[in-house]
Amino acid sequence: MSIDLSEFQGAFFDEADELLHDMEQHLLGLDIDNPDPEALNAIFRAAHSIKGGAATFGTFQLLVQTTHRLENVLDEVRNNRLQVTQQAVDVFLRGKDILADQLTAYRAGSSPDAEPATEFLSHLDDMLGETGPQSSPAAAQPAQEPAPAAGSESGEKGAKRRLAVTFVGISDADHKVLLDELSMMGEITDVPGESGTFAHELLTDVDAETIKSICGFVINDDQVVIAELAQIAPAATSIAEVNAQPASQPTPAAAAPKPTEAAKAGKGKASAAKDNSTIRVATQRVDQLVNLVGEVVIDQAILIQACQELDPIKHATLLQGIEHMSSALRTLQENIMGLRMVPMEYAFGRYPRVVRETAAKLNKKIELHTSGGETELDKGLIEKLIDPLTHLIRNSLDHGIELPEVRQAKGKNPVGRIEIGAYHEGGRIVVKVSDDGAGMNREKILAKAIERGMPVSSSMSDNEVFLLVFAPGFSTADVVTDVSGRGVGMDVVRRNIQEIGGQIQISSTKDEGTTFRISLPLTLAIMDGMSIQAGKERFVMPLNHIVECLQPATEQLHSLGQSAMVLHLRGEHLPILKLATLFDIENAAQTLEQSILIVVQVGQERYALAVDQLLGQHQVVVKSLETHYERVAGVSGATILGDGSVALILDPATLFDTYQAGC
Amino acid sequence: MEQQTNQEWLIFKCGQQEYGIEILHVQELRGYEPELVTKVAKAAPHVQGLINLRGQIIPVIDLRILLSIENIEVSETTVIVILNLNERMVGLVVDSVSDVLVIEAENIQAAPKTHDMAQARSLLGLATFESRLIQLLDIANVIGEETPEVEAE
Repeated sequence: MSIDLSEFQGAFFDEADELLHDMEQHLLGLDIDNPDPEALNAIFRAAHSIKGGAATFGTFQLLVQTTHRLENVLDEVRNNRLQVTQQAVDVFLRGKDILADQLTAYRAGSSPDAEPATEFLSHLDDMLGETGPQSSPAAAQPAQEPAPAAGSESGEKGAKRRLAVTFVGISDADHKVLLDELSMMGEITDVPGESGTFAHELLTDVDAETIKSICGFVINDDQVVIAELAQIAPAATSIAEVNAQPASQPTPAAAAPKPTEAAKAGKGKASAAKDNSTIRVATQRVDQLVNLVGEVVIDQAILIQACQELDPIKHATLLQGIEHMSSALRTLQENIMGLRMVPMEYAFGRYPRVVRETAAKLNKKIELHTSGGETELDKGLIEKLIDPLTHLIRNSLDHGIELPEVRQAKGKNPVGRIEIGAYHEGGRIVVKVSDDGAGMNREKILAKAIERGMPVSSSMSDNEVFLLVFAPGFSTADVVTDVSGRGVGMDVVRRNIQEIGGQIQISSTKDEGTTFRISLPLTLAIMDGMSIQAGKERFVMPLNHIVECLQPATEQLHSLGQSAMVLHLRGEHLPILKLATLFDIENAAQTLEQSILIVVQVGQERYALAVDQLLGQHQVVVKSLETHYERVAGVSGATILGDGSVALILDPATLFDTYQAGC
Repeated sequence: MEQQTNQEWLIFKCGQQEYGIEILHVQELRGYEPELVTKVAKAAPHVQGLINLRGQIIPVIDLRILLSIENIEVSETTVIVILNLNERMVGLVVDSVSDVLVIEAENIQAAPKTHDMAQARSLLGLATFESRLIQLLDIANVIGEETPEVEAE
């Protein structure tokens, strides 16, 4: 083969992954008693497209074989010749996993293990065997070669078309590859064409669109022209349709399109439009854009700062230009940031499977409800959220929800309920995982904590007590439910969530259930901040944590003990943290009366941060300190200010922890 | 340590001594403006702070403190040597940079074994060049970046 297919392989793998994901979604969403024909079609199409793509490369024999057989069975299912059962769905799901494994192996350049596939195929054969007289022997023993597609997408089995396929401006080698490809789809004959072109007639049951997309793996779209010459009577060899559809059914060459065909044409168009409306772009390139736009935003801030000294009348044009640029830049930035956003469904979509399988293992009956799947979040964040959420859900399944008998004894619905949801709340995204299980046992957690020598007291709030389960080595299994668990640390969950700037809260009521509430920033790359100053040092405080800023009156300030100070604000007493003390800053304001207090809210906690000055509100590009340096306590990152210097971005949550740790 | 022949070294002064760093680790030189270095609280004393290098935020380390040099001054010749160590960048404050030399392997001797282990670890060798004595630094060891792979997790 003269062409290098490897670069197309990447595209194929990505597409196949997506198709498998779709397939899984549809399988999981399938109503066994009343399956949606559209869903069945979609499942079939996914298998069909993967097979088509895989066949192009010639090296993915096992994948082609497996998808081909799967496709045959799925075709039986969607044509109502095979009853959908729970077992069948399980087999198909297993098949999806096997295909995913095969893809992974191929992607890594190795050969996949044939054994699971063989086992899977025998399951498929069993299913076909059960179909009884309806299925013809031919269907029960699908052809071994990966050749003819078992049906066109329209479902019009047996309706073969005669297509004129013309290739323009392609090499002989490409032509040979394409011929091999086409001959797998039907009978092909050469017809004379203009010089420089290769003209063929293809008798096939595959539609033009599919052929075109298969050719697209080898040549450009505009290098192939496909025209439908005629539709001919269903081939007599067509499986299982021989009796149902007399071969004599007239289908003249110039027959007007049947209604089904018209519908199909419309649908084809719709799906084509959908294909054209998206392009696949590497995340890396988007990240590059995000970085670049961040740079430009900084430059713009520098320009604006420099322009402030200019005479506004003399330099009116310049200033106007810069103003216009700023607003355009802001839109540009929002748009580019939007590229990174994906719906939460991306994460939620995989949990039905987790719940289904874990529930089956534990002999529990559980319904999963998701909401807010359309809420958008930065892709990087979502990816880092998937594992912690899986962990929380497994935890709810394992330790939260009781066995059906126990639930019944408690007078609850024997079917447990787990809800995951996402919604916006004050510039952040909140993701909730809740169950209606046994709830957490405050006393047991406290007892366990004391046993482990942790600094606890009985006056701690429920949330604080529950958060103890996130301490390293604190097994929720012994504590909460007495069921021995897997002992995987919940501390990992909390750490992962904190790493992406999230906070976690737990609320739980005995026998009513537990809710984990995770609050996350919309994106990690950019945020609104307030720049503040203490001494000569400048910092940025995330705006969404600031409740208010005030200059305290002497009577609002009270000392507690040796050095601690509190702010009395509308009946509430807030601890005061001095930024200058926390960060060892010299020359800061000496007294609190000279300072400005920023009231900061973290979760349910509030405190006041004393600074010298507020400098103003900015949108800042968040840069990681860890790329070249290390994590700094109380700081979530850094940004570059208008004058090109670096300012640390405060992390309100860890700032308070640092303070409590005795700074 | 690897002793390739005829390597190029960036030669600089800290205090009265001359030192060399493999030129391959050096990305660029920048003027030292203390007011543009953002302090980091509770950092080690040799960590001066952070600077913005074309959008990248990198730490600045005062090499003179690490080399236990007294009387640290900022003069016109004080520069920041930006190093790139396995994609991690760091700036080193040094008193002055003099030249880039090709030092032949035969002019490099192994570092003498002294009782000071830290000292021994941070030296790749001693070079003589036209009667000058140059200490060739294993810079990753000096600034405590021995195992960046592990640190970067």
